[in-house]
Amino acid sequence: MTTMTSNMSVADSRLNLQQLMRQKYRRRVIVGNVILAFVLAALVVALIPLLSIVISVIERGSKVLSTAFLTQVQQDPFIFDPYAIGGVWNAIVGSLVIDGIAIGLAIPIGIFSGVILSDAKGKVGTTIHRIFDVMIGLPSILFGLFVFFVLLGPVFHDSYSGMAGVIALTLMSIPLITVATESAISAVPSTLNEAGLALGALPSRVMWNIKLPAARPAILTGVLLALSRAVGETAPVLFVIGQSREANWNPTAEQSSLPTLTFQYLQGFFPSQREAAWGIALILMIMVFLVNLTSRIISARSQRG
Amino acid sequence: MEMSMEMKENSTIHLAPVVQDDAQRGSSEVAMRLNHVSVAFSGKTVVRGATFDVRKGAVTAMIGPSGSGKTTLLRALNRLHDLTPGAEVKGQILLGQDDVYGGGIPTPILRGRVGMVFQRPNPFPTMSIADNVTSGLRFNGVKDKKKLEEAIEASLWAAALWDSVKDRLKAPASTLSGGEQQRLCIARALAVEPDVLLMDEPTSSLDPISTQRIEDLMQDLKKIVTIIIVTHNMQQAARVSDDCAFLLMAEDRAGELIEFAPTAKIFNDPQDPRTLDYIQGRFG
Repeated sequence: MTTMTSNMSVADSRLNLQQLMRQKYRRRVIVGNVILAFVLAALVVALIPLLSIVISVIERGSKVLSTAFLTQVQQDPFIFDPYAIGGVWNAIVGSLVIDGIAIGLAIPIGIFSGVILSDAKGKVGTTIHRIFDVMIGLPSILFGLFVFFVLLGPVFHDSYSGMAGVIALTLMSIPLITVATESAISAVPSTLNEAGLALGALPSRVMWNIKLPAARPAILTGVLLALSRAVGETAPVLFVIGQSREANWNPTAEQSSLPTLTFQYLQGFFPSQREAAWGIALILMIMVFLVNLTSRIISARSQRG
Repeated sequence: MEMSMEMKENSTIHLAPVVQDDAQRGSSEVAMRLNHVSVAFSGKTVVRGATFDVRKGAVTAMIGPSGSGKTTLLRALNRLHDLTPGAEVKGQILLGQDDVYGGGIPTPILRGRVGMVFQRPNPFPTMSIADNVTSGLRFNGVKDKKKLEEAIEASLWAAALWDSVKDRLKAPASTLSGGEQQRLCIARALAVEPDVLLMDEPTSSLDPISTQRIEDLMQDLKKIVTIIIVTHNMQQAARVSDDCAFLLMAEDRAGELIEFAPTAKIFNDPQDPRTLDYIQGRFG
């Protein structure tokens, strides 16, 4: 009899809980939907301006873009010929030269310091790691400022030089590549490290033949991210490379670059200059898109292999 | 005494694996000698006072429940603890005549003579099957193409993998199944012709068929290399090993060697009651 009652009460309380849960059900659904609505709204708020930037760059840039725009050098419109804008070939060459050399210098320096850093343990290693982390977050104009005030006088004899821009961009890119390399190497499973050492390999061999190859896709992604950032940077090079109107493959001469020309054109007096700025923006966007696409293809391919 | 022996026999018969008493397996020559070996991490002892001889050409198993320090002890034998800051190995380990921690033998050379196979197959993912096999030789400066090619065939043959991979030696190692990858790792370890092969639960991530293949393989391998295997699987220890070290966690959570004896003796007539409890499945 006692068992009966206790069974009954268990059954009753179960029923109550079920009822309670059913009562709460509507509320749970409403709360869930409200949260979902907020999340979607945030997505829309984020997407609208970004998409409108992309669309207006494509729309207004494509009006300017032509073979002449890509292959001719810059011209200065004047009052009797306000549409004599020429092209941006000088800035394309300048960007290729400056960004190419900068990333070419930053790759070995960044990768080697990342390698060392991945092995550096203890306080010194952590401190250096922090410094690189901070350097990634530094406003890029600080690199321009440093080169302008500290190097332009003594090294470049107070004259504008593409190499001054190269130095600024190299300094900016090194921490990006270093940290990408360090975290890529640290992400290689320690079992591979042990397997290599257990075969009698020296640690340097394990790094070169096992860890670096395994980390290569992630390092490449980091390098390409640094490259696409360097391509678009205005501030580090703005005050130090000058404003060359000629296509100039010599990096030590005065140079021009796509972002700095954009800056120059935005301040321009003629409407044609402001329109040309949209054209440059489209070129930059396509370049960065291509760099990103390449990094995706490379990392997808090496993940499959 | 007679009585208790009989009870032991009876109670072990279906619980613990029956091992043929064949004390002649393996030679009496010593490949490695452990003398009061202790390992501590940052001052905390993890395994203590292990003393036993590893016979040349025999399979020596280290068994014991989780936390008994068997893997820790195994990794002391090729100085892998050197990688861990704060790790300290005390006591003496002899490889033949060489004192492993006595400075008489450079660590990379030692590791060339004491190979290792890990819990999970860890072939080098960026290398082909063939390159995985020759990696140890190449890391140690062997460049002679002919020697490398001979090593590929001989090692894959010894690891019972040659037939299934001989037509795709250039394929990435990641295209192999888990069991094949583990045999590739065995081939990779064998390629440098080690005296001793350490195996750290080599079948724990494999299916029963792959496990059996590797167990069969070990019986052939011990003709060319001394094997020390860590296993949490008693049946496996009973099947593959000639000698057996039983470790157990002491009160202070440090692993201790409870008993070392020929495998038949450990399983049929253990001297320590704790060994008997373990092989009868009372704990662990």
